[in-house]
Amino acid sequence: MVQLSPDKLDSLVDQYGIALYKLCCKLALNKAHADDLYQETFLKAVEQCHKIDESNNPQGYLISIAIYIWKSKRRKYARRQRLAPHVSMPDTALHSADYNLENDIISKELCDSVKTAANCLDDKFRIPLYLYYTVEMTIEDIASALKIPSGTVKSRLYKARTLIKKRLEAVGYESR
Amino acid sequence: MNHDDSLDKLLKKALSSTQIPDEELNETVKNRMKEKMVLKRTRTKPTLRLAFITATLIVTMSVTVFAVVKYLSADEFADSLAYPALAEAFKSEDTIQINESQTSGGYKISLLGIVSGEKLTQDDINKESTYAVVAIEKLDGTMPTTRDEEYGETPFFVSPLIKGLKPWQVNICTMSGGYTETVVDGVMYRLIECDSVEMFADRGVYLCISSTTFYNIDAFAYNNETGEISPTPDYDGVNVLFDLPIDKSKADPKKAEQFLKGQELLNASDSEEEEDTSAESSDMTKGPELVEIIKE
Repeated sequence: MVQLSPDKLDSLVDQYGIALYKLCCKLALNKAHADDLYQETFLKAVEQCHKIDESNNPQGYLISIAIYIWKSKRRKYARRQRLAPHVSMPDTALHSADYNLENDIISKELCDSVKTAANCLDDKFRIPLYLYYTVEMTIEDIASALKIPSGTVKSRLYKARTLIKKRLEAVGYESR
Repeated sequence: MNHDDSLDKLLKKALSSTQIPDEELNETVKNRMKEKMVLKRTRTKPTLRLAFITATLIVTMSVTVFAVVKYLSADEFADSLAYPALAEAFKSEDTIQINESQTSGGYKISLLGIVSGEKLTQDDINKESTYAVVAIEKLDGTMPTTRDEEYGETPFFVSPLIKGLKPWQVNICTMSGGYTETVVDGVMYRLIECDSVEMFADRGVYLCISSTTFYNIDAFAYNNETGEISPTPDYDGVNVLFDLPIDKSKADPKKAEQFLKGQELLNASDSEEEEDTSAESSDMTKGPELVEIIKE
């Protein structure tokens, strides 16, 4: 293990800040809470820099710190999302002749429904889903961050996809 | 491209993020990290160890005390979550202490209490929310803890439902809802929070619990004529419904109407009402068609 030295803590922010921030935004209620969670994660990393292995996925360690902090303070960072979040309409004059407004609206509604469905999942499935699709981590890195086997990550991702698919089918898009 | 690839592409599109931390935020983080490094070098270990031991003792003792009484009360559960504001709320006069239990699908479900945030003065309580606590216990005593691999294998959906409003359209998922849960001494406690249901008091309010992830039309039946919702007989799983005795004088029809307008649920046509009531409706074929759109 190559322990992360204190003078390299800045580099953690530069290298892994964006990926970590994406996760914080998914977990937290709003930007202020996401920024709080982001800061707390790095400050916790200072406390535990002796545990961070520079040669072996320090990003995964940061992710696991963020998830731990979020779980222990989830009331503060609890996420609420309305079914139909406000989305500004595109300016149709800017689009090409074959632009289909109806499909664009349906596409946005579909994405919103996916986000809502993902938000309703149990953390056990939601967190691996965000790590895979939002933070774009590999299965192995997710397994390392969550301290579970790769096979378990795969099965939870599969389950999450199945549940979201069922949710999309059950909702049926009455507004269409 | 098969349906799994389509869904994968849809998930990537919906869940991807372009958000990045501000420069200012990163600078603040780096400065605070440097400050903390200085403090870390001067901090004494024995003080930390003592604090940790003390905190552990407090938690251990608390759990031991709770084990003597079968269930935590709603305020005790909120306390265990370190949510003192809500614990106080559940002790207030506005709380409806129900303590009613039903058994279904191998589980005993108890509704411990429900409170509206409207008249509460604690800073940490959302005045526009309703809070409720349920206890879920497996009859054979084998409820997994949050550390067990089996935890979460049986999902639970706990939600208010409103008489006269289609439950697949108006439930905790569409009412800015969320939940926190934990398992204490073999009993799962779930605290739910959602938009206030008091405004619907004149219509009739239920709390449903089912062993599903979302609202499931197989678990509960909705009578289109009377608007009544009832557990489906012979459902293979948990499906219980509690009537919530909310004071009808607290109803706010105008606010309810505004809420439903915001959900775009008013003035729904008759043809739309028939779309989603069957488990084997054309919705099952809509899924792939809709996913196809995202391929463009």
